[in-house]
Amino acid sequence: MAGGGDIQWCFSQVKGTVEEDVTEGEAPPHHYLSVDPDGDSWEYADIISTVEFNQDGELLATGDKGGRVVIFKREPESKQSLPRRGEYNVYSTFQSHEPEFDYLKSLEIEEKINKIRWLPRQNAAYSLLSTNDKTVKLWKITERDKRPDGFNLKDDEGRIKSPNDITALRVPFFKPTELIVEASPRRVYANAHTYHINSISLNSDHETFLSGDDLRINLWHLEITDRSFNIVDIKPANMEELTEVITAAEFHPSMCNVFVYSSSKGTIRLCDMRQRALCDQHAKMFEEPEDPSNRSFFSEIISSISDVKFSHSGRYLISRDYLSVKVWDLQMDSRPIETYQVHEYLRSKLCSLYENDCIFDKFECAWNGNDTQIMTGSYNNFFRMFDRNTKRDLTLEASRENTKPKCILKPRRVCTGGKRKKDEISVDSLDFNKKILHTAWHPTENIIAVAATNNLYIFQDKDKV
Amino acid sequence: MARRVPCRLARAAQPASRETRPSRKVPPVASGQPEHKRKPPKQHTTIHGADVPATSHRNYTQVVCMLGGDRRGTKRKLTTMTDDPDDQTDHKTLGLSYAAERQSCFRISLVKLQAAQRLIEPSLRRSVLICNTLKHIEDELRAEGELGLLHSAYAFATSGNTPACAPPTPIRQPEPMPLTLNESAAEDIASYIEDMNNDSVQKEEGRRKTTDKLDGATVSQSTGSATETAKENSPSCMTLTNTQLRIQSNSLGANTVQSDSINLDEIFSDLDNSLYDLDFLTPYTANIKLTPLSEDDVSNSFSSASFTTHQVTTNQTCRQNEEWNELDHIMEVLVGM
Repeated sequence: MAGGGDIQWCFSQVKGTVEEDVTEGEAPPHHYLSVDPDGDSWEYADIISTVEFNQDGELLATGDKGGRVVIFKREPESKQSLPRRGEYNVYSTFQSHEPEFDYLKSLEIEEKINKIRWLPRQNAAYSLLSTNDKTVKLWKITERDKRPDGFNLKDDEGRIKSPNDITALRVPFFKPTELIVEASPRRVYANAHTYHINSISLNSDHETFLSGDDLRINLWHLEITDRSFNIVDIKPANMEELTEVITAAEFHPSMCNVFVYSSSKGTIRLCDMRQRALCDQHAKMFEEPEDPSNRSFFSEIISSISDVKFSHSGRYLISRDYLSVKVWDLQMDSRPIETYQVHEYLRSKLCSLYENDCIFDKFECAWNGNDTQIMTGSYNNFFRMFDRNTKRDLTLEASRENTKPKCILKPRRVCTGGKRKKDEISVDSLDFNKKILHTAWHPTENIIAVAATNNLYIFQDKDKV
Repeated sequence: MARRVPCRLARAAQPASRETRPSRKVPPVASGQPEHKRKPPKQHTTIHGADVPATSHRNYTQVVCMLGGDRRGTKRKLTTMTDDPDDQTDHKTLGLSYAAERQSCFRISLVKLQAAQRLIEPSLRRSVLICNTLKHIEDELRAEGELGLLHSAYAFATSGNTPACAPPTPIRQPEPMPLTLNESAAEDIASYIEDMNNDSVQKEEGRRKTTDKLDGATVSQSTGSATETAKENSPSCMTLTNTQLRIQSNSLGANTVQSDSINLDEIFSDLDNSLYDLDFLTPYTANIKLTPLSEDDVSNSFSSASFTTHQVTTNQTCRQNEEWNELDHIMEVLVGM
């Protein structure tokens, strides 16, 4: 039944504001900006804009359009509890970015968190990079579960004791308290981007990172906030000649001198920083020749790459364009080695999707831990998994209908024409406001986090539960 | 901190909120409510198995009504298939010729680029992609020699306005070329005008600003917050009137147009009104001010076109009335042949 490598995905958790039945006299502590026909209510600021597991999968960070970062931590495994595997519960919440106003251009700078990237853990604290359109910040998240007590000069409430009252001396000690998690901004990397930042990527040397906007990519050192190196600049001298923008950029997972960036014209360029300081010349360019039979006015728009991700091994990378996910071998730049159609049934609807702007949606993609499966999102809260070995694909839906614990998700099917079978959904019934743009896969286990507008769904492999 | 709006009230207010609901490009929370961003995030909750239908229709507000649909005041679905569930294919491609589809794509692209400036900077990627699509269509049209379609669409769209590409990336302005206005172009314009009329009755902010933007340079920009239907209608009608006058005046090779009044002798002398079905203008004739064309507008537009027309014997009617600010006068002139 299950297509994705015989994994049976089942529901684990959902996080987010929920439309509850309101009883008389009680108002839920939510404020609703809009109520849609389904009765779902949510605030614009709650829309999740990025999801990221940390390196060992114990922490899951989400950023939203309100500039907040919420970190979930997995509870320790316990043989008694069900599900046996720990749940992700809120660990820390903080306001990462605030809305700003650019007075020169009379434009607001959105506080929406575009990307979060975890730093490898070096001590007891966790660190992550979060960015909005203009500014990258390094946040340090620390725990405190003890506090000093037994002072000589202060009493229990902290008031200064009068020296006359002190009769004996004691050694202060640390008293356990409830866990307090604090997040503090450690670095702010600002004023380096004229255009909107769409990517940040930590280098494997753990000392530098890149931040990429529509036209430029800058290289930073984590410790230095007032300077950055520009390593890619595709801004033409005359902006009227602009035809291509950068859409995503990422460092290679093990080669600290290699990074890739994708463009709106469907190309992926691999650059080697050892060659020259300004990497405008690519070392390799990955581009698939266009299929002339599929040519339309929208060919360029749908070829625009919205996300690019290296495999964990560093041997492959995947790129997501509007209708498909392509797997590239770094050693072959002429064409992808695999192509998976995400929602080919939309190809005939491109004109409508262009009209309502859906064609510009930027979907992300994700590898699983051993690079055998790929996941990406679609519309109607569907998300798709592709198994590279069995070549099977699976469509699942993140919806509140399947939220009983350990409830196995039923594969969904979209009917493209002809008679609609039972349980199939016709293309015209798809809800294009419910899109899954952001997904993340646990680095080692079969746990996935799927962001559906303002809700975060966590699904697990049934066998492990 | 202000008390939260109870769920009940939000639900009761649903009809109104739906109308004022932001378009798909949801703007940030209004600045009058900054505390929403500051407040601590909500506690995650486990759901109680609420019954939500698996397939729910979403209505979209369309920027341009593609095929002159009669859906005033209603939000459109993704496709026009609600009445015919068996028909699965997209109306936009079904039965439309390649040229027609290209033309509609062209129009949509122009409209998108000229969407009003919002407080948040528009996405550069989106603007570049739309520009490239336009250029591609433009190149195709040039190659095929269908320049009339090109210019007619550009005429009312780019007059005096810098399109709202992310700065500074304007649309490449077309060089003046001979205009051949043929029937298909006229139909195209008529249908576009009808689209504009259909759009103007809807109260979407984005569209209102779109129609505002499409005004000629001589039209003073509306302040943007008008919600009355009349005001919304007038810019679009002025736009279309602008268009007609521009094409007509061009067809006659009119070189001089007085700035404050229009010499309809010259403008309408070669008009063949059979090309235009102007009945749809009649609801909007009240309180419509006709935009006077400036000399620059006309001279910067096309050079002389060839019309197979006959003389418009409107001289007497025209001369009787110095004040040509009434659209219905124009109507009579054009139709009362």
